[in-house]
Amino acid sequence: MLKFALRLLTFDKKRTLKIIGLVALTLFFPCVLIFSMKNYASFQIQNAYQYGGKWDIQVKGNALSSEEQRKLGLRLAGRENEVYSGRLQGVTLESGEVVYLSLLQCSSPGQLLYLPLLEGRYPQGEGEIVIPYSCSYAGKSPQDGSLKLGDSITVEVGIRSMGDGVPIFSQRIEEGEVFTATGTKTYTIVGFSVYIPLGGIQAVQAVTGMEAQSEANSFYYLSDAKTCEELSEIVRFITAGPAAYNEFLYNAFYENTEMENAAARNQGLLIISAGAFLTCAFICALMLIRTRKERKKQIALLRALGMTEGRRRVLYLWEWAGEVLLGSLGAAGLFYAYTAFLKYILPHMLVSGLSEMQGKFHFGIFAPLILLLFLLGTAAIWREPSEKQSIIRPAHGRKLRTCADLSVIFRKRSRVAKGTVVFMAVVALLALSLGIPLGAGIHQESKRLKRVSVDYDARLSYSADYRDGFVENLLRQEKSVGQFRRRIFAGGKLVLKREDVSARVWNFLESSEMYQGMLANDTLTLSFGVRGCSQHEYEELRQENPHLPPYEEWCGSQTVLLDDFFNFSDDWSGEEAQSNAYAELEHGLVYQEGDTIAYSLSGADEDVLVESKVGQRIEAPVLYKYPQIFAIQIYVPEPWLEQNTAVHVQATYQIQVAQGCELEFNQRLAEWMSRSAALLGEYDYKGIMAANDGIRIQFAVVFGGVFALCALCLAGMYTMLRVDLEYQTKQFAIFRGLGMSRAQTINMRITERMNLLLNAILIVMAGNLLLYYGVLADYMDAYGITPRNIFSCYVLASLLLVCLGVGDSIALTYQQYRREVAQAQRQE
Amino acid sequence: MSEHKLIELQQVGRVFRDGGVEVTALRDATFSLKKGEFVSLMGKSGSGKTTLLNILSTLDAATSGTYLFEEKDITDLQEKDRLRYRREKIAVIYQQFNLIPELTVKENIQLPFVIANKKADLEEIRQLAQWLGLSERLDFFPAKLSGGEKQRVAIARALLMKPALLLADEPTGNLDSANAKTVIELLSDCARQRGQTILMVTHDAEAAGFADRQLYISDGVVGE
Repeated sequence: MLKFALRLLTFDKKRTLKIIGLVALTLFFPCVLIFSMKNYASFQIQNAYQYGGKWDIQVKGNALSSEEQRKLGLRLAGRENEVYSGRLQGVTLESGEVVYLSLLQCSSPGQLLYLPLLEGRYPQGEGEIVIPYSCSYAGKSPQDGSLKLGDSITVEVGIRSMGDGVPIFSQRIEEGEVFTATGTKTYTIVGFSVYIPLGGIQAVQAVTGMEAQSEANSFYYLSDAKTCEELSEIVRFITAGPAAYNEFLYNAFYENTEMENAAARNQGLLIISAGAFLTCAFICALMLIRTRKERKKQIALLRALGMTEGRRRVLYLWEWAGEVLLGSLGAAGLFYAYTAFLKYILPHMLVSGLSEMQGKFHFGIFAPLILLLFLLGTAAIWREPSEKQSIIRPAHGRKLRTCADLSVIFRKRSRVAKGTVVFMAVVALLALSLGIPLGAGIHQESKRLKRVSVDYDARLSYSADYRDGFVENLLRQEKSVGQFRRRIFAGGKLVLKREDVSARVWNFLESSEMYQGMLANDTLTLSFGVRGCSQHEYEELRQENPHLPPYEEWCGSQTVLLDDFFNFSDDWSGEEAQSNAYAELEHGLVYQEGDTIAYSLSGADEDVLVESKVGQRIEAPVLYKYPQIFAIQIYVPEPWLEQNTAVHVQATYQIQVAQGCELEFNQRLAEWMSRSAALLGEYDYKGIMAANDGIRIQFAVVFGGVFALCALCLAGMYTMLRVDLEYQTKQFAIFRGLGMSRAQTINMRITERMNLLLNAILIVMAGNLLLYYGVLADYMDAYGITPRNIFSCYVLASLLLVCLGVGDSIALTYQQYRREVAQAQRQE
Repeated sequence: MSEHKLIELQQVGRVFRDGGVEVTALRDATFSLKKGEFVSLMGKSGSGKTTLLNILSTLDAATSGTYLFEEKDITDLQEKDRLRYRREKIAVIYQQFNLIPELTVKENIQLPFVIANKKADLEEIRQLAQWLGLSERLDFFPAKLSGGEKQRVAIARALLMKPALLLADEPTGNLDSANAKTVIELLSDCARQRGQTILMVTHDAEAAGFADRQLYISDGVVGE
């Protein structure tokens, strides 16, 4: 029997290879789709976890003391006795000298994120870390080269609160907050990242859609500014606390609709993956059933020769299993090639991550195995075509009066499984409906990122232009340094603590406006001296006025790290300006070239909203018009992170005030400012580019998968329709003999197909509504895709499907008609 | 029997070109059929019988000679004009019955009317079915019929339009002797009672014996 089956398998090698190839390709696509969705994001998130070393602590049960429960608010929430399980995975975030550990829920396909690196590599061990390029540690920073790759940083672990034991969710350091140290940790710096986050925060944002970074993080606080006094307690807290925090976080997150939406999104993507796999398995089964139908005569012959049904079934089962097994192996091979490409080749093609892909090769075996079992099951219950009973009845279809009635009758009584065609049409349309908006999303994202890049370019050149102009103005002494600073550097309100600086510095700062516009991390170095006279002249003056301090007391310098007392971007005096800026974000606007954009310019006395055009340079006169302005915030929506990014122009510079050298200082200051602004602008640009790469590849994977599914379904559907037409080829000869014209034949087929496709479209429209409002609405909204866009896509997809179906039917009918005529005339 | 010629073929030939090679399927066929005449055509396989039937039924066109139908030259008609002949004047009965499996007996019979956009007279269908012994089978699908019944359905479908010329391509080839005899008798009745001209292709000498006249075809040459 096996020999016979092998002969069947090898008799027509071309045909067998074709089937094996089709099985392999059909299976390959859903494997890739599921793998991509499930693991692509996952391995990136795992990278994120590794940034601060791997904390992967599984805790089950409430291991906290009553006091700890009270601190965490669990007692108040009535959850102190609940048993919970959770997982803490460490993610670090550094802002200034602070490192946060964050807790993430398990990764899922919806957690797409990007993690751009400026330099170095991703951490591979517990003791390695990537820090942001802009951070400073103990007065050292990557920006000035004092902090290099390979350096070590030691940070302290603990919890931040306002003294009530409830962890602070804010990323920003608040005045009056209490830090309870729990331990220290030393890391080796292996890379520098773009922006502040090290990945974890962005990961959380991408997943949860949290508007503010702070809400998802900062439960653990590391700082070298404090000493550890409660090490043992904190160590216990770290090991016992995650579960409690998990619970705490779970409540915090899942009460948030954004989190629910994220969960729904993940579910939607998983549904699509599962749908893809089932559809492809179904297509494979149909394909194989069709090959058995080709053997109808052979089966009848074997039956006539006395072969029992069981033996016939076993015979064809062997052949079938051979084809599926070989096809599955082919799919696995393709899958391995694909994953190897992702792991070894793709990372070298991108600016951003992807270097730490986790091995998931077993998936390549697992999925084909499922398919094999599915198909064997199908084979076992499948009935031989020779035994198939006709189920058509005269009542099916309408009364025959015209050729149009013929279409209906054929559709109703056709032997080809119309349900299968409708099913595939539904799946294809669903895939199209999702694929097209996704494509639109990618297109919009690409366009937007390009615009942002252009904007950055413009701002860079603006900096350069302004630098030259500024230096020139300084030389002419037309503008003061203070005016310049106020206009260029945005930051917000400076909060100085009286006790942090000497009385002399305080008085100086208070009496001047020099500090305005400076940012956190800025280093303020003040040089003191006596202005307006030389030391000799001062001594003469002192002799006349003995109460004056000695000359030396006026001289010297003091450096202040503004981290210690700066609180920037926190206090907006003009809520209207802020709300205007946010309003644009809330409506999910993506700026187009030429759109009007509102820049909120916050001044000391008033806030002014200035309208400008996107892509248009901000001209200096606009800024000069508002002399009191000290803050400029340009809001650029970042839908993929669902955050509002205030594009700051930041700078680290020194202020030197010394008698007799103001002009020189001003020149140097201008150089510093423009250079650092340009530098940071460039980093922003690189960040955008990295984001562009990341988002593009992620979307490409998802969209590619959906598109493949769609193409597969369409191919399957049209194959079924073609099989139906081929089956009806003989009818053409009969109809022609009876006087049916070519136009009548084609019309009949078109009507038949139209009815079928319209039915499918009606079903799919209902399905689309459910899918959209049930699962995808927020997902689409996040990418600025409105219901109107979606329904346009549905209509487009429906039209496309109908056109394809009808066009294909016309082409095939025409072709078959010609073939029939040629056959009658025996012409090739 | 009327003396008027229904069709007349004058030196009709058909040459096929297959990959640059010319094959002559029909050579100078010259004969005529009178109205109401029942003629049989015998010949070996590959002798050109089907080619001749295709030309007579206007499914194919001759490459030489003249084909007159009711004294009108229809040799070089366009497809749309030939369609009219197939709808109104000529009907064909096939060895394989060529019934549409998705249509019932009644629907198969009325199919030519549907294609010609005409309304079928249901009473006439019933009478025809009764004459052919199909009254009880009108709502059956072809799959449920015997071979003889299928061929009678094909005859009914051919007769409903009252064609002047009825071409039968080995109508008894798939039937047992009893059913074959019934079919031949029906065709004979069609010629005698309805005045229709019948050309029946057959390998069966006994069946050919029922015809008024026998034609033979060999290597594309038709002779009497």
